[in-house]
Amino acid sequence: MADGLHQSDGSCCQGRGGCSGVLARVGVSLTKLRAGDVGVVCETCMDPLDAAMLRAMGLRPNATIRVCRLGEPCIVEVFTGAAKVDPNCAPGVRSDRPCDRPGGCSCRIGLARPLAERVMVMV
Amino acid sequence: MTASPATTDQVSDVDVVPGLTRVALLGNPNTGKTTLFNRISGLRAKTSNFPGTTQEARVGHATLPASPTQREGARLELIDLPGIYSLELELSESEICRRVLAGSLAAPGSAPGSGAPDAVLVVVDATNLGRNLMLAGEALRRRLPTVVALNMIDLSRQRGLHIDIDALASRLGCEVVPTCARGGDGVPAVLEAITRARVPNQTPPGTIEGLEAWADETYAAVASATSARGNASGGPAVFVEHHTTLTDRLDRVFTHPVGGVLSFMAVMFCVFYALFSIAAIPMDLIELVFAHVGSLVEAVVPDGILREFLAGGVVSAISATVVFLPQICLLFFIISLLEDTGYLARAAFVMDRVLRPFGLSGHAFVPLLSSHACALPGIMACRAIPEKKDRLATILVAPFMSCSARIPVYVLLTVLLFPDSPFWQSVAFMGCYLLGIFAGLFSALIARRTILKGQGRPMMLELPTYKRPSIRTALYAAYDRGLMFLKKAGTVILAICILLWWLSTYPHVQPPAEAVNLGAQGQALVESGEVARGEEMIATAEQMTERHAIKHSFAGRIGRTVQPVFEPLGYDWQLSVAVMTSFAAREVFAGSMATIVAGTDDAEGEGVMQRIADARRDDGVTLVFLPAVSWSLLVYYVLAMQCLPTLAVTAKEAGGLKWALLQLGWMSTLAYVAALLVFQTLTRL
Repeated sequence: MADGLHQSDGSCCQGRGGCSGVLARVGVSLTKLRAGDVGVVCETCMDPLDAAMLRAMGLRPNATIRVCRLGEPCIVEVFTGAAKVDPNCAPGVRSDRPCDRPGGCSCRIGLARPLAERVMVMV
Repeated sequence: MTASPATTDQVSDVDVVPGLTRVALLGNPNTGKTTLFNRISGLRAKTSNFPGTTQEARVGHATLPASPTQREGARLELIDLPGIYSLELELSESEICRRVLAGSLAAPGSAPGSGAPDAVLVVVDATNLGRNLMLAGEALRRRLPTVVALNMIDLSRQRGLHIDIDALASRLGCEVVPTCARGGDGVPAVLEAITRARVPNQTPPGTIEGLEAWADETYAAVASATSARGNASGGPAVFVEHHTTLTDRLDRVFTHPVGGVLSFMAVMFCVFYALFSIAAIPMDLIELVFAHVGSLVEAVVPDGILREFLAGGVVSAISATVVFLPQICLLFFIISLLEDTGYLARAAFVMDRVLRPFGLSGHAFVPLLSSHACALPGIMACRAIPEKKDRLATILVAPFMSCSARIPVYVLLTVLLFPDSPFWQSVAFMGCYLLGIFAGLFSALIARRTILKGQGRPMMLELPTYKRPSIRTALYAAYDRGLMFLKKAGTVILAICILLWWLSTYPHVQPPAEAVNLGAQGQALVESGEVARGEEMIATAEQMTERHAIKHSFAGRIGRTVQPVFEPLGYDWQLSVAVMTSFAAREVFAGSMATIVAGTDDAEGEGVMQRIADARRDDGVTLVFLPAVSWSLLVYYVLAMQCLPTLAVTAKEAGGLKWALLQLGWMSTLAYVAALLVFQTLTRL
């Protein structure tokens, strides 16, 4: 598809659910990032129970994260707060700039590698 | 300072709840919920399970302050619900919270059908308010009188975060109380707020997307960054960079594939060492105290059945129960400290890599390692394992870890096998530990492929901030666990030990004529002046009497009856009696052997080891402890389930007697087969 957008068809999670099914920018797997990278979660293509648990812990679509450590476990810092809409992004996509949020509100989540591989992030 | 929602035309018709008594404490994990619970209820709390579940419930009590609408000194019952991220997750903890808030599950101590709690106290973490607002929103939707405790307010201020309490209260529609539970700040205000608890006048959206948007908007409206002077500026964020970097550095070390394992081993060595060394002091003291109590009973109570029952049965049984207490309290004290620092969550990931191939999770390592001191607290520590099948698998295999009760058996047998070689004794000793670990992991693998089938869930865990641990919280945890142990396991252990005493003591038999004659001769020698030789003869006579008594006791008869079962393992009736008596407690083996073959229960006494080594079977020629027999016994004791108190705790923690029986059956079978193979192989070499 043009402009790097794709239709989530569940192929990233072998049809096990957890995908938004909406137009989104192509995200990369969390495990492809480097320590220190900041990005926005696109979707979590995994078992629905795991996806629900992660979402409740704060790792949800449109959440801003910072990669603290890669490998096993993969540690991400999840920032909470209001996301701003970036008018330059495609509709339905949100982006956030960490410096615009109130300071210090975050949590750290450790993920086993099989889970981290299924978290798609837009950098 | 608290904040209440502004009075509007939408104020609920349900005002302050009359007769307020029961309050449910709800919150995410790591929000300081337990710390707040301890601050409010102190030692006036007890731990048990929610009815029909293995989920722990703590119920505490306090007295509410007087208020215009409440009578003075109204009694508060605080129900500490499990820490959860959402009420809507398909997890047992979330289900329990849903049912308690709906009134369909009564908290322990409450009458069934007592209905929903009178109010909900939601604890939110001010340093992660955005995420915590999700659960708060779900709680508000329950339409119960609600108070929000905004905890860790001190940490949020340190991080440059300012939260407008009034605005938050207005958006939530209920009272918000800033607290620092660790220091006790805000706790009186929380109790006062509970007396004014109202049904919220705001209802957050019901869909997850709507709730997330609501939480984001609420957070954006109430939170702002502070300037260097601590004034809210609303400007760019002030990140406390050095704090983040320190956490990153620590995480890199503690979760490193090599560094993480090394640091974990170092920490666990210290825990282990503390359990063996520090706990040994009060344990020895307890044994000494009860030995004196037993002597006192024997001195005061007239000779007869009552004296035997009190001194030999009850006092010994209570001693055998209470002696576990220092290890249990110390273990949970240390675990609580480690958990509070935030380190344990990192360690769980490190060990998850090692244990996952065997069907266990990283959470299992602390219980398994604790079981090397004693399986009882190790099994109790399994409550921290979130997944049910992981928890059951860990409970089932924990007794394979060589506990301290096995040490006297290992010492006795390794010395018999390698009398003049401390090096090979050490190697054999280490081999016993490794065999136990291997058997445990192997058994876990089998269990996860059969009765507890299913792939373990990949681990995901919130890693709490590193912080200084709370000694108060750790002391409460130690006290709580110790009390739980005494109430539940202690009563079972007491009953078992009394039964064992009875089986080993009755029926009384007349001493053998040979012993009587020897004793009389010894007495005569003493009276004639040959004191040393006379006392030696009297001691020998007493040993013969003891040996005769145990041989003809019920335990001895049972041992001789089952001896054919143990014959393929190379055990004669003497070893069979010792093995049977140690089914209640392993450490009895050494004393039983000393009593049977040497007539004294002091296995470490001078000359006793040599007499045990030289002991002969009934043919008068064959040694009792042939090398093949000693190896067979060693393997048997590594693998066998010989601790009835552990079985009792397994039944309780696993949620049914069937798990304890499964554990007993599997371990006994494995021990028997392995010991059989060892003996039969060695005798053919």
